[in-house]
Amino acid sequence: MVTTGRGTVAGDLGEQERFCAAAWPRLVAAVSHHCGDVHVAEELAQEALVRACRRWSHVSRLSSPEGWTYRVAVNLANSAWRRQRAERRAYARHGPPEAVVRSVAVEEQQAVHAALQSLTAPQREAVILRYLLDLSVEQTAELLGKRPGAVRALTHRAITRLRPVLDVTEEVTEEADDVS
Amino acid sequence: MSRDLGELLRETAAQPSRDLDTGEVLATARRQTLLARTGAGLGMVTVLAVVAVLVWPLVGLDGPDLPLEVTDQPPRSEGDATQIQITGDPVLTASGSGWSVWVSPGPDGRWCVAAARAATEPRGRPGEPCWEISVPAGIEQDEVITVLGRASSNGDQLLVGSVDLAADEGVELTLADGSTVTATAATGGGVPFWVWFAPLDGAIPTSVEALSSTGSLGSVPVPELAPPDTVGSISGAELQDLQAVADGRGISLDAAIVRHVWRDDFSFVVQEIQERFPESFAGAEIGGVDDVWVAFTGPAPDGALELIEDFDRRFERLGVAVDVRADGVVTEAQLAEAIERVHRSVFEAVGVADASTSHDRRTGRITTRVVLEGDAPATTIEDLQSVARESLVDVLGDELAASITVSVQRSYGPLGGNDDSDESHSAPSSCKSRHGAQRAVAGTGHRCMSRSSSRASAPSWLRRGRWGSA
Repeated sequence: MVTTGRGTVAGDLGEQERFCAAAWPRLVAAVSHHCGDVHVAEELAQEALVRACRRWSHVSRLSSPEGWTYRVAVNLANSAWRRQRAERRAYARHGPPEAVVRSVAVEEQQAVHAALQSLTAPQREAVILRYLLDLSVEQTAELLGKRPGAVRALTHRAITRLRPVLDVTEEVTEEADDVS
Repeated sequence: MSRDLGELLRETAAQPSRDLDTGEVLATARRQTLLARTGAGLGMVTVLAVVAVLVWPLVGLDGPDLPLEVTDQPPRSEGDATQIQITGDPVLTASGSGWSVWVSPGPDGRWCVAAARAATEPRGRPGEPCWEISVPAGIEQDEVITVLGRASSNGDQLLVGSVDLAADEGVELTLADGSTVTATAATGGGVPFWVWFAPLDGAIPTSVEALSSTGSLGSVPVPELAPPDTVGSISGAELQDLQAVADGRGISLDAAIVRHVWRDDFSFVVQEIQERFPESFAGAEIGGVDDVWVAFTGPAPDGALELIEDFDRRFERLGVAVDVRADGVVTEAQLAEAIERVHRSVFEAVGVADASTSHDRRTGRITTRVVLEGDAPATTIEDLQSVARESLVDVLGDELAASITVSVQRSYGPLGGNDDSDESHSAPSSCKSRHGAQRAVAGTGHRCMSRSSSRASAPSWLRRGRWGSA
């Protein structure tokens, strides 16, 4: 009797909440690779999740809501103004950027970050979407607004550039094969 | 030892330093949705005011129940302006976990209700689902809750329920008939105030249901959920930040708004329009604050117009408006196809050694520059011009093709143009080909590039579409 509209809303809210909770650590990880600061990454990821919830009817139908949210976070990070606001929120929440939680040796993390920063922005996004968020070439292409072949080319170039620096294996030779 | 890239990225990724407050995320999302929809609603929604005054100190543990009286019922006519006035104090039941307000306007109409806090809180739009507003915890001053709505043709009744100050999720209200409704509540970080309507079988009296009296209100810092202190439609906090940026960079406040907010927000609006109205959306461009437009292939959809009006209203202090272009506009996809077809037809013509095609939307001109083979006759350029024009008409038809000029120009040197970079460009859409080229893209022998947006630079093209990103 009182379920008109409400049931759907409540269901959506539950879905959104579950999505946010599940995506949070992976998004923070991905965005921190992009921006280099976990606290700022958290603010950006949170803002992106807010946007995902705002547009849930659209986002929930995508093949990768998490990928979409990551893209939004990156867009936010690329906006100097929005990033500045995220940095201010991070500062207000955590204080000066010192106590960064790191999961591995700082040197290795910094090396990976530096290597990723050496890539072009599209290359970096493609690599993170493909290899950190485990999206398919097609999903990545959809999110980046590119053709699958372009994504393969991007990741191939990125890995070519990363390989001598990070000593990564070419489990990803499919990219090379695809573009050669 | 070599490692897998995905594994390396995961191992070196920073872990969150805090748990996500999903309640805060959901509450913020709903508040922003409300804010976004409010502006346009002002012109459409006849303001119906039900003003209840909450004196916060009374809304605590053991706060009193106050009477609520509906003095003016809404008419049944949906299009009519309607106002109801609730006089006196609202019926409130305070408890440790919150308070509730129930309003029953009687059997005369079911309303879709929006709630607003004080004058600055946004108002909803009739016909939309009901809203949630956020009331900051630790309020020490009097609070004004405004409920807005309009009668619908449905004869059901209205239930306005508000629950849950800093309560956990799963708050349940029992209706007069014994049934229950539940609300998902934000936890921590904010104090959501949910308002909804529900069709009811029978009239319910103005009533109050006490919530759980467990827990305490406490004081929760909720900076992001505080009611917006707005000037125009840009929040006071935003303006302060922008003013600081403007002062720091020696630019005007308006320039800071344009540079840091207006441009981004426009791109979001365009993105939403494109996603919601893909069949109608033709393109959009920022040339400057006085030269910004969104184009549609046919009549502009109402929903798109509302989004644009929202955007204009938010930045009304800038005194500019988005130009809406409708009917007879070439879509991005059509344009992309036209450019490629023109390019291909010229390039594949006899006597052409190299070709490069670009389009300038400002002038509506497609230009193909060609390098002719040594023995090509002088009349070839005129022929190519005809070929290009015919290709354009083939793709667009006479009417749409009339809005685009085609030009074929001879070049005596190597053709510049696209490189292999995968960075974003503000370059016009273009194609480039060369016979005997080492690199073939997409198996066509042609390489086409589209405009893409660049938020950081101005002015920039905003091109939306899937074509030709490679």
